[in-house]
Amino acid sequence: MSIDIRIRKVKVLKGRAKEEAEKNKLSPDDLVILTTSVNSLPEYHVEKIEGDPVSYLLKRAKP
Amino acid sequence: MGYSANSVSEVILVLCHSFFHDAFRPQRPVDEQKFRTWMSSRFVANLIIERKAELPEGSDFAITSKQAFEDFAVKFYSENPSPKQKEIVDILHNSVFVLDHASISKLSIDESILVICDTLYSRSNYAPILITNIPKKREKAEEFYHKKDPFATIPYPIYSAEEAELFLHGRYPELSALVDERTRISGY
Repeated sequence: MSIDIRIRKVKVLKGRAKEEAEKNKLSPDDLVILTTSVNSLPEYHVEKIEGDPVSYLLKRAKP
Repeated sequence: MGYSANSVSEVILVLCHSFFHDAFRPQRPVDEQKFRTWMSSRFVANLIIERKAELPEGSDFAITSKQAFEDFAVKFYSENPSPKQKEIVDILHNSVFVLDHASISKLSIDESILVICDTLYSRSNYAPILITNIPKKREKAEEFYHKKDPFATIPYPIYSAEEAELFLHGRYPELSALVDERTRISGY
């Protein structure tokens, strides 16, 4: 299984990734960490970034 | 890297390793000048991420060499990096175009960055801006150009993170306001 992880803005998401964002009631300008796991059919996970992305990533990685 | 048929040159930021180290320094520096550099580097990094997040896949706003990126990644990792630490590097790798090309990978970090700037300036519709927090980088760029022509001038701007922040505020006011608002929410 391969995993791709990147930051996207909700307003540019399409298809099932967009549906995931809508389930979480996110706004168009919200930034999300979009994780795409590809086995056969890709699976999308969206995680909302709170505050600025650099601080959020550093806090997220704290042990 | 994406290419636009638009005749107007598109700004692209060419990132020196010093910029990454400053932007991702976890602790707030005590020294006033270092604090300003840290804040501006954070601003520029956040704006790069913000802009890349809304560009079509394959379009880029910032580029660096493999050597410069790896210099950052190796020092950023602790001895046993956690999966989340590795994810930061993977995410950043997807926000910045990291050039891994045989002709560039043999060069030093400094030369690789200068070659990228010169190539973008000379043969594309990108307008490169070199971002570095190392003041001596300008001298190195001059030496690089003077090897062939002692009267050559550097054909693209070289900005510190503080200078880049001012430039980006003027060039991308709405995006900059969004970055400032998100930073305010983070509370630092």
